[in-house]
Amino acid sequence: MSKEEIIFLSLFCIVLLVVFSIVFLFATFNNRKNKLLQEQLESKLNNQKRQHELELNALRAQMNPHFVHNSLNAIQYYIQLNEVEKSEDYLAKFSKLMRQFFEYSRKQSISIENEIGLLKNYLDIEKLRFEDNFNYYLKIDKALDTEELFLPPMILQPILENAINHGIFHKEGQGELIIEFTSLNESSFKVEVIDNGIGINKAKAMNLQKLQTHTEHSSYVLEERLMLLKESKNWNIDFKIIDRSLNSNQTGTKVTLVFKDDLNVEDYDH
Amino acid sequence: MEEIKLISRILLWSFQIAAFIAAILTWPKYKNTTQNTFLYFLGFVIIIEFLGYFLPNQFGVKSAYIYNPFIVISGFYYLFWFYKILKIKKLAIILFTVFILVIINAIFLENATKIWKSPLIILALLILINSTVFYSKLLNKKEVVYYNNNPEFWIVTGLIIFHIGILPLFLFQKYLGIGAFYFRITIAILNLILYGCFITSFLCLRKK
Repeated sequence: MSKEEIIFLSLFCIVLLVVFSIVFLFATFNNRKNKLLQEQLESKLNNQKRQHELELNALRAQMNPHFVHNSLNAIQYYIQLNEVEKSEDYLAKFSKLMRQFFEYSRKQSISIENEIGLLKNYLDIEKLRFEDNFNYYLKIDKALDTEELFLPPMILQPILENAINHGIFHKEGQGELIIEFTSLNESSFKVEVIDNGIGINKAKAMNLQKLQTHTEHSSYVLEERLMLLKESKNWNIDFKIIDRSLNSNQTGTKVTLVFKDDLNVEDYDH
Repeated sequence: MEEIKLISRILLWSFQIAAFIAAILTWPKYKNTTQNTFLYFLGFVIIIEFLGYFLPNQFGVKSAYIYNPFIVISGFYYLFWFYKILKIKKLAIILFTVFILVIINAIFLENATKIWKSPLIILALLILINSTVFYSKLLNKKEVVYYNNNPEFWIVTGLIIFHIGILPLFLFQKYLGIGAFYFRITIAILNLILYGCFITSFLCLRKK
C-alpha cells in the first residue's frame, strides 16, 4: 500500500469515526428524549382521563336517584295539598338545578357567585323535603369578590349533600347548616361547611353497621378529585374535615376548603 | 499549500474569537455555573494561538515550547471541569494520577522540541471516559428532554468529537507526518467543530 493510500484510508477512517459518533450520540439522545416525552404525555393523559372519570362520578353523585326521587316526591306532596304556587316555585327551582348541574359539569371553573346560586337552589329543594326541620345560612364575606374568584364546579355540593343526608338527617330536632365564604387575600379564600348533625364519626359508624358506603365513597371521590386538581397545577385546594364534638361540646361536622391563589381562570364562567 | 494553511489558521482564529465573544456576551447567564471558568480559558487559548504563530515566525522559537505546556494546562483544566460536573472523586483521582504520570513520562522520555504524543493520546482517552460517564448520567436524568439546551452537553460533545478525531490522527502520525497538509487540515476541522460546539453551548443559554 502506498503512503498516499494509507493517508486517505486513515483520514477516511477518522471522518467515518467522527460522523458515526455524532450520529450515534444524537440518535441516542433523541430516542431517550422521545421516550421520556411519550411517558410524560401518557401520564398526563392518564391523569386527565382519571380526572374526567371523577368529574363524571361527581356528577353522578349529585344526580343520585334518591335526591331526584325525594325532591319530586316533595313537590308531588305540595301538588296534592293544592299548593300550586309553592309546587310551581319548587318545580322551577328543581328544573333550574338540573340545568345548572349539566351546564357547570362541562366547565373547568365557575365563579363563586354561580356556585352560590347552585347551592341555594339545591338547599331550597332539600329544605322542602325537611320542611321546617332544616335551616341553612349562607355567610359571604363582603371583601370577597364573588364575580372574579373561581372554583372547580360542583366541589361544594357533595359536601352539603353529605352534611344533610348523613349528618342532619339522623339528628333529632332542628337541623342547621352554615356555609361561610371568607376572603383570605385578593385571590385566596376559604369555605367552611358546618352542620349540627350527628358528626362524621357517628355517621361512619352507622354506615358501617348498615353496610352503606355512599358517604365514604363520595368523600373518597372528593379527596381524589382535589388531589388530581392539585396535580394538574391549576388548582391548589386544602381540604380538612373534623368532627365538631372533638373540639367543643357541640355535635356535627366541619369541612374546611382553602382555595389558594394559583387558580386557573382560563375557562371561567361569569 | 501555504494559502490553505493560512486560510485554515484564519478560520480557526475566527472560531476561537467567536467562542470568546459568545462567552463574554452570555457571561451573566453562566457566571454562577460550573462553566464560569470557560471565559478565562478561551481568553488563554487566544493568547496561546497568538504566541504559537508570533514567536516561531518572529523569533524562531519552536512551536512545541508553546503547545506542549498548553496541552498540559488544557488537559488539567478539562479534567478538573469534568470533576466539577460529574462530582465523582475516585474517578477524578485516578484520571489525574494517570495524566500526571504521562506528563512525567513525556518530560523525561519525549523530545521537548516536538509536540508530545503520549499526553495528547492519553488525554483523549481520559476525556472519552469522562464523556461516557457524563452521557450515561445525563441519559438517566429527566433533563435529557432538554439536552440540546444544556451547555454542558455541547461542551462535552465538542470535546468528545475533537478527541475521537485526534486519537487516530496521532496514532497514525508517523504515516501522515505532523506538519503534513492533511494533518493540519484535519486538526483545523476538528478545532472548528470543538469551538463551534463551545459557541453553541453559550448561545443555548440565551434560548433558556
